[in-house]
Amino acid sequence: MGDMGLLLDAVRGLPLTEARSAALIHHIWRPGRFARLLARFSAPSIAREFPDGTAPWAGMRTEEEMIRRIVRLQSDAAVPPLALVWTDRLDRLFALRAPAPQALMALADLARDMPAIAPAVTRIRARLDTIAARGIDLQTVIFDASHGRTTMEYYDGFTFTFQADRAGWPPVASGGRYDALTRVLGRGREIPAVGGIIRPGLVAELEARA
Amino acid sequence: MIRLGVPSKGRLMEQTFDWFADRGVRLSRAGSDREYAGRVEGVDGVQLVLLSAGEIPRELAAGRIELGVTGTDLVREKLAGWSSDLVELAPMGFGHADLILAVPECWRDCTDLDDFAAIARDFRAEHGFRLRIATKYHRLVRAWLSAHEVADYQLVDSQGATEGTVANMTAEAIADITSSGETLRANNLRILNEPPILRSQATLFANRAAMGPAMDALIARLAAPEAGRSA
Repeated sequence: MGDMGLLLDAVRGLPLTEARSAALIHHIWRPGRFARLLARFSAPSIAREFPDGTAPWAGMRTEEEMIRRIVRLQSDAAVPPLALVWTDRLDRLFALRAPAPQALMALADLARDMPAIAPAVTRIRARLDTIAARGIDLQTVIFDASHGRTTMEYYDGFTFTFQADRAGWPPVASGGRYDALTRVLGRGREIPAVGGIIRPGLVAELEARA
Repeated sequence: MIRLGVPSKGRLMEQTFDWFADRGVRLSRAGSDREYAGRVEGVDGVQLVLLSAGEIPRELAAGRIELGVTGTDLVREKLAGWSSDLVELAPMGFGHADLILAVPECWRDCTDLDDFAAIARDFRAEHGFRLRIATKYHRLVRAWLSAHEVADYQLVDSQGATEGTVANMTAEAIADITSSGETLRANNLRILNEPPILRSQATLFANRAAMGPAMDALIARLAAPEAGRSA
């Protein structure tokens, strides 16, 4: 299992300008693009040249939109780089993958350096306690901080995958929370949302074996 | 009998005929220019079928022809999982074209795909819909953008005159085949500073199920130009 809310809070908690923070948040589901942005923000910026144009304006994107972006890039060039200690903490968090009890200890450790993730860590602890109260051995639950990053983009909270112990099988079931989706679709109104998929064919095979 | 599909008109047909002639196989149209029947000399057991280049991938995959000459771009675009049905036998050295992504020349802040991704994100926030890319190569463009993690775009279908869509306000960028880039420049478009989405050229393909001794013999025969033959 994972929790995209944990990662989003960690990124929001970085000492970054609003524009840089928004860009990272936008690309959190695209690991390659996210890593490139983070590397750029962690290095001294190089002021960029924009050639003078002679071409006539064409298309629906306006010249004003372009100038706004150029101004944003130019002011970004004056921003000092993100301290390496922060990229290091973020890397440690994103790479965390361990049985739930050990993961929880590592998260509590990280939360001391990254106070922004403390509420999410408390939430994860409560969730794991609930799972344990159902009689499930937490050593069999793998917490993977980056779990939701490469699956569907709209998951923004708790994510889960049920994996059978058979080589080459896709997940038997997967899903998670996607509250932001209803917020966007609802234009001002929202409801908490959770959903997932179950592969009935795989379930049937598992039941036949049991 | 091996049925060989060849583009039915223009430079592509002539260059294909030349390529086979260099290997001692003379292809020609039977009768007048308007007739789509063909003649094969210099090798037995091969029948020439003249077809539109765009239909050759489909005809190959369906097994209605065993061999065919068409662009790698068309095969990869039109056939999902093309390599399970087709075998790429030989690149033929002509019909070169790159599938590229181009933006308006006036976008001075857009040189590479990172810029493009950032502009697409801004555009969506500003206009309330995703930046539009006009193309007929839906599968190839989508796969390439997905591999490069570009998300805030939509494809709009354009089967021709794609370079005009930006000026006509029906797209913000285009993905199309180009060989010299001249049409792009004439329409005030600029290719992004990235390797092309695909480098295409005319290629000899075979239907995978048609592979066997007869096909092997023909392939061996076509392997190398015969010295002095084309002079």
